[in-house]
Amino acid sequence: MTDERKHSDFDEIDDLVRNHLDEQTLRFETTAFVDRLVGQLPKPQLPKPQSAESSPSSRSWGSPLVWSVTTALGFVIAFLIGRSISPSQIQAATILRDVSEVHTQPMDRCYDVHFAPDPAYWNERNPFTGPSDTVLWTRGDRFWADATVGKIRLVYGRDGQGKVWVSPDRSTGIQIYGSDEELPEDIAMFVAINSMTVPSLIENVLADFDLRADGPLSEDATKRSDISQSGMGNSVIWATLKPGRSHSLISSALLEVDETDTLVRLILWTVDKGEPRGVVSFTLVNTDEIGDEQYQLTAHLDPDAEIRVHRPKREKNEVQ
Amino acid sequence: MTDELSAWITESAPRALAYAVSLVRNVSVAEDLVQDCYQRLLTKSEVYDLPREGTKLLFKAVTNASINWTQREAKSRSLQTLQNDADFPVEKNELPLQAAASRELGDAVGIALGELPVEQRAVIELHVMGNSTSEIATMLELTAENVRVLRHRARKQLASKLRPFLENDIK
Repeated sequence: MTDERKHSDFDEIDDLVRNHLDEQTLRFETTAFVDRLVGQLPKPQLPKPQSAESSPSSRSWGSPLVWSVTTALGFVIAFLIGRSISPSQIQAATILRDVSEVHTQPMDRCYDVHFAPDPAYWNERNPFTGPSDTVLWTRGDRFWADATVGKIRLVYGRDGQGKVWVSPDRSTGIQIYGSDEELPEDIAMFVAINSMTVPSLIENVLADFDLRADGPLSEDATKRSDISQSGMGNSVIWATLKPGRSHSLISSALLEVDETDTLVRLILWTVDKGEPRGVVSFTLVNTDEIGDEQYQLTAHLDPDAEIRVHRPKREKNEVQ
Repeated sequence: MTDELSAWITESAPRALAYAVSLVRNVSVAEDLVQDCYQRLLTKSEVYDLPREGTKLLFKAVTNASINWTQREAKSRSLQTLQNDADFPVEKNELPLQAAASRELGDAVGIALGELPVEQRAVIELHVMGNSTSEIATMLELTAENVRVLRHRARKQLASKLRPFLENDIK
């Protein structure tokens, strides 16, 4: 085939694609869609969505770097210019600072993690959106979890070098290479939640939330029937979305801290595309020293198991 | 200014939506993504002259949002298929035109485009919409050479799939 012939063929291909796009542009009834967009214009600068439940943009949740800076600034302000911050916010920051110190100690903590999907969310077909029970061990920023999701059992974790891994059975392992910044946002958040390290949790998961310490459970808490009474002397911190912020997964959260400054319970009220997804609860059930090996993929595989390597692509900026 | 923005949205939205649908293969997801992109851009309407330069920014945002969504979706599906004996149906976001598998040319082009990797699909569609190689490279954060390679591969695969419909039959 000559170059001219190739060129002609490709022009024809381009024409076909162009015509197809033209047809598709005419095919969709976009009047209502356009009206919806134009309807938001009267305000010179559009406000950001007020809550995850009503936010069409709730899938996006800023970069971890931005969160870290924002959160760090928030805490600096909380400590240095406390006059403008409510006492409950300062108390929450103080409690979490103490918890952060305790959780950096080399102690293995085991949490019982339960996910209860919202009845309207789970279609009872896809087990990955259904109820799940997980035993989660964590120390510092490493963790490993044994999850039962429907009929499926999945073991996953992050080792001491920060590598995330997944194993569907003892004969197969998937090692995911990449730093937290290189992980896709959903996996990075999954990792941050599961590691249960307070700085990571606060900076990477709850950065868009106001944190307020609460003594006895508040009136708001009584509306949430799935919360049992907190332990005597425990501190409870409520996380609610900051005004104008949205979050792709979490609408609110509760952290319960005991007298030894250990995070003993975490409850996340989650959303999916603005609709309630369900409640995830983490409850501390054990502390022990289980050793480093358990946090590595190889500890959960047979000697002749296949280990595959996955290198996630960094996501691209959507709007600069 | 509001009138200008309104006119810009009215003019650009149908094409942006069709493009997003072509990339993500799901109308409701495409609507969410495009709406999200508009919202983000509109919050910067005092920074950018959207009626004049917004369309390029919009298509860049839609492209990357769609590619990111598609990659996340693929990852989610790959996780779901880790367990081969899982006895649940994987939900597919196929367009009716795909399912129909019509031999009509328009449908055939749609099906052939849908079989391309999403970045190739984005490159060829941005190209036929009049964007230069360097503009596409900027949008996709790729080198110009990579854009040419992706475009060539897209054309080659489309030519192979659409051979029966081409006037110049490719051997």
